[in-house]
Amino acid sequence: MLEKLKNLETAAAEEIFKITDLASLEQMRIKYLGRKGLLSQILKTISSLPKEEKPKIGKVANDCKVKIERLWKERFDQFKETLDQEKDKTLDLTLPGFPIFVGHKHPITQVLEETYQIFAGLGFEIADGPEIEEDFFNFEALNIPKDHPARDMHDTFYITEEILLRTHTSPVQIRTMKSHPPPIRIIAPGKVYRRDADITHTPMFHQVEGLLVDTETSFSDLKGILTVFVHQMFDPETKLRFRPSFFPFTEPSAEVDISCVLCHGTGCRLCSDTGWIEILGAGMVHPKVFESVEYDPQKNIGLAFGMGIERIALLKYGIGDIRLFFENDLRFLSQF
Amino acid sequence: MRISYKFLQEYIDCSLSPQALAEKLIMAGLEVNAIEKTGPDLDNCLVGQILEINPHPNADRLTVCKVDVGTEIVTIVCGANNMKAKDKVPVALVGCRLPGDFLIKKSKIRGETSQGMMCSEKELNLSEEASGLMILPADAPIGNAITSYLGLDDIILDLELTPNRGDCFSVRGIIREISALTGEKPKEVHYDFSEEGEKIKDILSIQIDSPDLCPRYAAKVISGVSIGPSPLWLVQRLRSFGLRSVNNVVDVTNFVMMEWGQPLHAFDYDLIQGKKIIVRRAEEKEKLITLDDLERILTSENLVIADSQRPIALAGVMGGANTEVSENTGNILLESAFFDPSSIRRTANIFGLHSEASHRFERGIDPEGTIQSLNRAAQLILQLAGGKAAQGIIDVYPTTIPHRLISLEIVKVKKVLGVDVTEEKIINILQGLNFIVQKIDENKIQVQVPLFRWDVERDVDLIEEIARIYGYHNIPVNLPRNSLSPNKKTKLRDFETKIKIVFSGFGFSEAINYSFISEKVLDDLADLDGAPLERIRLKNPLTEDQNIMRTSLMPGLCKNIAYNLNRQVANIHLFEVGRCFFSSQTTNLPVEKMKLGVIMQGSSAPQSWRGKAVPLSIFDIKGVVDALMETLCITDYAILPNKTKWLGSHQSCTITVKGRLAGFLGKVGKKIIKYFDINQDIYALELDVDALKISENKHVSPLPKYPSVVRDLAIIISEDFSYQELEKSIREMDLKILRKVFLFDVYKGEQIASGKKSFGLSFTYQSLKKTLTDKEVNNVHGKIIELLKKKFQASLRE
Repeated sequence: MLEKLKNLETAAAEEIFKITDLASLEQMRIKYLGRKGLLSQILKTISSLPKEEKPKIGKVANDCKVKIERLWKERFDQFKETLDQEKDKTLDLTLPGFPIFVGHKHPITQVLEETYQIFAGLGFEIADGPEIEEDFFNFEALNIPKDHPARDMHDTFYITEEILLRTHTSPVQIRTMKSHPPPIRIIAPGKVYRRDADITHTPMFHQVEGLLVDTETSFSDLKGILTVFVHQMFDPETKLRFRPSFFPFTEPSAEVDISCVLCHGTGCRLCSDTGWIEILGAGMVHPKVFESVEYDPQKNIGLAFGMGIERIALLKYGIGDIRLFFENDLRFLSQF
Repeated sequence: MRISYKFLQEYIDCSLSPQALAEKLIMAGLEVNAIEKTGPDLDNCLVGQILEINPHPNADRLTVCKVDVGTEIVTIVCGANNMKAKDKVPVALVGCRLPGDFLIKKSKIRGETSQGMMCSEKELNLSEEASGLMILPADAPIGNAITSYLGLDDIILDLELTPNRGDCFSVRGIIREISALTGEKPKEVHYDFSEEGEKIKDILSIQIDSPDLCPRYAAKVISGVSIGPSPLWLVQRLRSFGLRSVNNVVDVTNFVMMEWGQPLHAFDYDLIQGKKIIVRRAEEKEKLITLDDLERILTSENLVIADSQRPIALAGVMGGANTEVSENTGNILLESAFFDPSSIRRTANIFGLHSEASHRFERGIDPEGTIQSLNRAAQLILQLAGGKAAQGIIDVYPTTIPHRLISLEIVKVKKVLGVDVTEEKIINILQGLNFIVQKIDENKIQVQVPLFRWDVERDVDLIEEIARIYGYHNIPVNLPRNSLSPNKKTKLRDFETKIKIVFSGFGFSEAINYSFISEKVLDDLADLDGAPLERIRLKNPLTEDQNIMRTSLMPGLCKNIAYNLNRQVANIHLFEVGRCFFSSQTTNLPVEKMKLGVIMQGSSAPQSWRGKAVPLSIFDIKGVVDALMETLCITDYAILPNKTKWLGSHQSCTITVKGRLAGFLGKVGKKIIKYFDINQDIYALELDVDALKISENKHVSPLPKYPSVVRDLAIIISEDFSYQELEKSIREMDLKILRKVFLFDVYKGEQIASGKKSFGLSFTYQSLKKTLTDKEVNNVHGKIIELLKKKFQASLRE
């Protein structure tokens, strides 16, 4: 009996190693391990053995079964792996991947968020204010009285005589100063509205306004802050040009140009052959503004700046028509 | 303000090229919009004189002319008929290239040789006048290049002046700036003329009733003028400023305004009743027909110039038709005055009358230039229109406008600019700009401001003057050295940013729509607009499509769907975060609410070769809300079937967060999609962003250590029961070891009786304390089955 089992094991092992295909392997399994297989036939005879021999022989028989099964499994896995490899070889890996929907943040959001980061690095917090504003905050407190010609620079949408859509984010300066004592270091991002529509103007656009008030700061600091901003937003080689300008709420005031992003200053259509592109307005806070928020203009000094985000995005991404930002054409949005 | 480069040389020696001059002006704050040539390059176009005009042998309408162009006599075939022999005309000779790239060649016209072309104004691009040849003045020098003769070789600097620099709205003003920038002194001028007429006091009186609105009024009378065309030089000067020639007298007043910045007005003296000028406020409802032939109904806010009977001009804005200078005018009264800037501005605004004059008055002119301008005009009128000037001037100037005195601490210049400018340099700069400087002590100067600089009121204004002449580019670049303060970013932006990250991660692209929409949308979809009736209307919308502030993001997003569908874009998944506006009874300003809007069209996943894409259903947008809540760690929310505004369909739900209404979701109803011309199913969602900003303290649960057991169950229940009821009942059993209920299948159809549906449910059981035994699981699972059978009459499905 023991002899038979031993022989069976050896024969099975030999046979397994000779097998070269899965079908023969299956036949071999049935031959040895099947219900009517050789092992079963041997095991059937166990019952006829004497009682005391049964456990011993039974264990050997079982060991034999396990051994053959293991050998078979090893061989089977070898075949399986080769087969899988064959299958992998025939898979056309150039078939396109299963797509997933990809979303895109609006380019304006992307520029805004980049702006937040740059100014956060310079210690500026974000402040907020309403988009529908009072004349006082939008104009009066910013030294733009009712009959001032500077109002011509803002084509204003009115709700009533005294309530309007803010024309800039500067009223947030006023609101912040009215509710907080100095020092202040904020940026105020948001939507603003002007009655104007053409290839370079939309009736709604985004601005970021900055304000720093302290006991000490200067025009020289203003140049520094804006230089950091431009170098991070565009590229560190970008040149800046500060030239005198006029805003009722700053004195001195400056308009800031950057070297043309397209021609880098040699002159092209984008910069009307000047080599420069205007991107923001800035200046030292006008003492009248401090007076209107009850800050002492003798003790406090401030700098402020404001920029149009669409304009920066146009330059950054080389977009020719500002209206694209508000058409929400997916073919446009999905490029960002 | 446009200024001719050639012209300004008459006032100051400026050796800078036009480009270099423009650069200097720009860096001093006078923006130069453009540097323009006054005319085309016209080589070989000369002044010629017609010697003979002969009929063309082969054409009735043409003539053959002999023309003297100085160096030779040429033959030209001509089609015009407004010329006669001896006339001088522009002649384009062979080789000349006329505007429009028209090259003149030697040619034969109907058999006759033509060696050039005599030109009309249009052909030289000077005007639209094309009816005949341009006839030049008789004194035009034969053979002169037409460009230099007509001043077409000049260069114009087109300056865009900021509203504070009213003083630069004149040649004189710009010369002052150039002088300050270059150190070159302006050339001196003297206006000499003789006064041979009557004494002015005998023929005119002036009375100012409103000195607050008119601090100074001066006039001069010239009799016996002959109104006629202006000479070429004056027409050219005016053209360089962008003005048209009218007649010699009007042209002189305009010219002097451009030269001195002082608007002047000429009245027909004979039409002034009572020979008296009264400067007063208009009476209520008083009428005046202005020079543009429109009747203006006045109020006491308007300042008028009147004679003894009636208004004759809207002061500083426009003259009256009743005293207009015409061909028949013989005697004129010249007005030179100073008016209150804001009064002029109000009047100009009310009547929409923005003239060159009002533009200057409202920015503030030089009250000390009144007389000089008047004399300049008188001199030119006598020269060009003849006549006799009355002796003297009437100058009513009851209270002299005082000069502003500003004291400036030298250290403040450094404090504001961050650069050390020496006291000497400061004084030099200010003196160069016509400020009078006096030293007070070590550290302080007193500065007297010239009256034409209305914008300089305080020490910081002086500092700006110093800075712009010193050069902004010479101020160093520094960073603030202030103490650092911790940056407390406002939650609002963080939250907004987070939502945007989440949604772009979910595959949605961000839309930004205008905050205003068309009121018509609300009217047409009135039953769907849940906003209060009181709409926030713009008083002056740009278009009727944008006349009302939005109360929902839905109209904008629906439009975006239509826009994209029209451009064959499919699978439009958009979101927007923006403010909506609601009128309020309790606050001065409307209430602004930040909303999140989401809209979806197409399939729930992109189509691929795996199989057919599954079209969207309401459960997609519901899934979006669940996912959003999970990212925001909000667990206390519910989505309940409810009718909502802005959807108008049966597939609509409200969303509550912590029991409060926060928004809605669902399928967009037929009426709306039809309105926006959309022919596909779209699903939408809108949430109040503030409602999502609940700070739930993040609390991490320990991870289970023991294995879980999953039991599946298929039941058949009546369609009357909703899944939500069923799940709620199970949850309410409060079974400690039930971790999760998951619905994996919903079936209705042939295999099941009508009116019934089948749910495939999967229950996960797990304890945090031990490994569950079969018995424990069976016990709890059995309870659930029992509940389902009892409460929902569920039958188990094998």
